[in-house]
Amino acid sequence: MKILVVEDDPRTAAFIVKGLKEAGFVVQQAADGETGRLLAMHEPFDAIVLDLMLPGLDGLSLLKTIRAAGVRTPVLILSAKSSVDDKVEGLRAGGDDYLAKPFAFSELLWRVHALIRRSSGQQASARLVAGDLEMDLLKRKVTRDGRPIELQPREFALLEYLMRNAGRVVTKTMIIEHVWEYNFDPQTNIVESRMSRLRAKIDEGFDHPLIQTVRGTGYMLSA
Amino acid sequence: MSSSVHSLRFRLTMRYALAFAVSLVLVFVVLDWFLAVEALRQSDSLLMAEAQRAAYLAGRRKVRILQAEFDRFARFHGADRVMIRMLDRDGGVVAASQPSAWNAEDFPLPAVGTVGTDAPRRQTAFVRGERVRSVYLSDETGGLIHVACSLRDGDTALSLQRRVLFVGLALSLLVGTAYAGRAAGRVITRVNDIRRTAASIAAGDLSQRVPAGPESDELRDLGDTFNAMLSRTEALIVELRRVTDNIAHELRTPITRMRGTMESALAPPGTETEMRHAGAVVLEECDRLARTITVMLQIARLESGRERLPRAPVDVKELILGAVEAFETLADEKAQRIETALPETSVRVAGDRPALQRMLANLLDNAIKYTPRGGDISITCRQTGASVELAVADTGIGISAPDLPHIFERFYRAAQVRGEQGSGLGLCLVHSIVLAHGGDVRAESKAGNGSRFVVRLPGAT
Repeated sequence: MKILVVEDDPRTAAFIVKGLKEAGFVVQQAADGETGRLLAMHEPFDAIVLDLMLPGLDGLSLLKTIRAAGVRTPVLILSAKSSVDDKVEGLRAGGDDYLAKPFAFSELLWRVHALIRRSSGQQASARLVAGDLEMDLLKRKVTRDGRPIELQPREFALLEYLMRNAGRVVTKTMIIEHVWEYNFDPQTNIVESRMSRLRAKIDEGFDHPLIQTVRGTGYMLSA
Repeated sequence: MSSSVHSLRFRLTMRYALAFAVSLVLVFVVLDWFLAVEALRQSDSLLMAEAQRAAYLAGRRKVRILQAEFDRFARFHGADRVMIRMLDRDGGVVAASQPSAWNAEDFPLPAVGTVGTDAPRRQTAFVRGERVRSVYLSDETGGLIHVACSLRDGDTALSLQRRVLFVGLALSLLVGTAYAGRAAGRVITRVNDIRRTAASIAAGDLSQRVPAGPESDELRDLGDTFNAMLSRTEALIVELRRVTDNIAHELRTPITRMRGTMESALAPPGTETEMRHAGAVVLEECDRLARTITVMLQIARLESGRERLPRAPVDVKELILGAVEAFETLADEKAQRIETALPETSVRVAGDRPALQRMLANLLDNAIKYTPRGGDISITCRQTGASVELAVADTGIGISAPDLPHIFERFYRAAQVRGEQGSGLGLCLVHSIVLAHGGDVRAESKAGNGSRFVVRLPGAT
């Protein structure tokens, strides 16, 4: 998998490139809009991570140019602007997703994976497995080591999200966005509170806990 | 004082003086013309009357009587001022007033046939330094009567009038110009007051005000408007300073925490566990900072009206049930009950669903946070006329009377909760969201006796 990162700030670019390489991607970086445009037009990438504020050609113009030239590569926009209008503008210019700065790297990684999955048309399977934990999405049943576990609908959704991202850290913001259709401040303890209940149901009585708290970042389900 | 302001005064005065002078000259010319015409008309009527009398007498062919009448006429008006004579068909003198100041040769006779018995001929001649007016009239026998009179008196009077008029006009021009100069000066002085005030404000003194003018006029209105603008600006600056101070404080606190944590982690001997712990603290603080900035921007956008909220029908009942579902585990942990009293039918408002969810979530989060274990929280909703009233009540610690008026202000935190986690922006965001929807929010509370927040939103049409 090959990713193009167009970002002019060297420190930001460095941690994005490092993180993506560690996640197994082949990464190429452009520090200005013109270089980014040339690379995007002439080399095949699986996804592009594009900063909007760039020297020379700005991100939105770059995006419009490569879309007009027929480049279909999925694009994740990074921007310090976070208002709804900014997002709409970015998506209208041909972006596939939008991530406001500052962001958790795990969230960027998750979104890049999601973009690639979406563009390659992978079908989500009806069964999710993580170690001895199994989830049947059709029957909405969860078992661990063959023992059935009763979950409330929201706990089910939370676990499904963790299992789909097994092995990856998910932040509280990502959880709120994907598990609840409700908009609340990530500072409230709602996520922690749900997570501790879910953890009690999944991990109690087992030697090996599946749900881990990653201090300062979020949660991770690892088999 | 700048020379341009001075020249504005000069220019105003000069323009006024010029306009005044032009109109005075017009008055002068018209008046002079009327007076001259009137003087000539009077002489003409005198001459004509005498000519007609002479023509009548000549018709009677009584030369002696004619001569006597001519002498009487000359005597009466003065021989140096008038002259009358009667000529026969051939130009011979039949009778003439004696003595005469002028010679007959001074007056060229009109051509024969140009004068009739009913068609007198008038002309003005210039004889020895004065103007002389003549009237010629034929009598029935074909003789010619010539009456003349000097225009000396009239011309003297006219020139005197002109002098008087000229002096009068010159005086009024002088007075008018001086007055215009003063009036312009007064206006400029008051404009200058405003300019000076603006200059001292530019130099940083926002407490300055333009002095109110003596009369209620446009300049005073300008001053009042200017002062009103200043008061508004001053209030905004004060608010801006307060918010800036708050922001600086809100940003400095987490930065201090991060700095301290990292410093102690880096100090030898730094273990990996210590470093990991410090890194996690920094990450959390960064997230908190980013959230604070996001919420501050959101509030600023809502309050400035820059962010226009989308208006779609939102079911308030569904909104409340969603909030209860999201927060029930939190309430459970504190053994609190969340009760709802909702109407049977759906209640809709026009608004932005995520913003309204955020508003309700903040109210509910506060209720849970500030209510002790085992307390009760209730959410009610009802349609009242064209609006929807939504209330979140708790049995918590309440808000003290001095705090109550300030709770919707940015970063305001009541003394009793200052130690608790929170940004001081939650209720401010609630307030901004409700206002942006065209509604209002109020809080009722007594310290120790629970709080009740009532939100009123315009219903969907």
